Amino acid sequence: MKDLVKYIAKALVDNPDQVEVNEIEGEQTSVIELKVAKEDLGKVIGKQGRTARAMRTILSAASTKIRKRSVLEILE
Amino acid sequence: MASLETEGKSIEEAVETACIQLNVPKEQLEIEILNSGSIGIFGIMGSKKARIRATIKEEKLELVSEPQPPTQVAPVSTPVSLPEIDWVAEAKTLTQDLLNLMGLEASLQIKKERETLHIKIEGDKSGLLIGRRGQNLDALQYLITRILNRKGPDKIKVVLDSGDYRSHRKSYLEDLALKMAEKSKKTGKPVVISPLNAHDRRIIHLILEKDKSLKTISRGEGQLKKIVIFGVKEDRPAEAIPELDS
Repeated sequence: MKDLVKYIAKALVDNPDQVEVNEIEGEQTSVIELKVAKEDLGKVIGKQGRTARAMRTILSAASTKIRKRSVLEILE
Repeated sequence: MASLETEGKSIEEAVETACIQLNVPKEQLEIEILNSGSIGIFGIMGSKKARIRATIKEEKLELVSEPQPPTQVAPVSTPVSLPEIDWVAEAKTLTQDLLNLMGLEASLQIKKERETLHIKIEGDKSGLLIGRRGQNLDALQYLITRILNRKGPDKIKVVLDSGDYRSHRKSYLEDLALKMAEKSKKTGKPVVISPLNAHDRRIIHLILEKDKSLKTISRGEGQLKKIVIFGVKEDRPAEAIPELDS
């Protein structure tokens, strides 16, 4: 799941080398923390949070496949 | 109108003095040269001071904001013909990578029609790719569009489809719209269709557009809006949007 978020984030931003993804695994739910360069924050969030929402949708779809739950947190 | 006579070794100097005394920039002064002065021999003998009369221009505000003559318009950079982006290849790699990362195995077919890329995914039997009301498919389509358009200045549209989902959805929505329109006509009351996204709403608006006895409007805020279908009388313009209890 971490790789999926990392791939999408890197493709969206201007500074891919500053993309950091951390996965905190829980028993059922894992939290995925995404950190990007300050000026790229808008790129991963999108207008009205649309990009962030799309990423979360994709993430939960992919998590369903492995019978888990994943939560995406975008860190400032 | 403030006016002043000043002297100086040269006209420039006299003007400067006037500026200081009147406390205005040089541009706002009307200069009348009374005596241009002379340097004299070797600058020593017989030198006469320059004498001017400075008057503050009346329309100074206008003059301040006077548009500067266009300072050399930057030469219109002839668009450097960018290397043609191979959208199909780009989209193929991207989509395939995303599907792999999502743990889905499927094959792709990509067609480019003018500015639109049609990406068709085959082989997802679980329906996971489509999601509830196509939300997963729409999210993926949105992300692919974002990513592709980030790389090039051209705007490219992406239509992502899995199996025949899009066309099935379209005919389902059209059927629904016609059924609801019929209901509205029969009862004479407005009918509300549950919240839909912009693309789905468009399908409904378009199919009912032909029917002049009906009107459709989107109601609500955000991504998902309801559609209200209501009848209009031929002789009366559809001014009133019916009040709804819901």
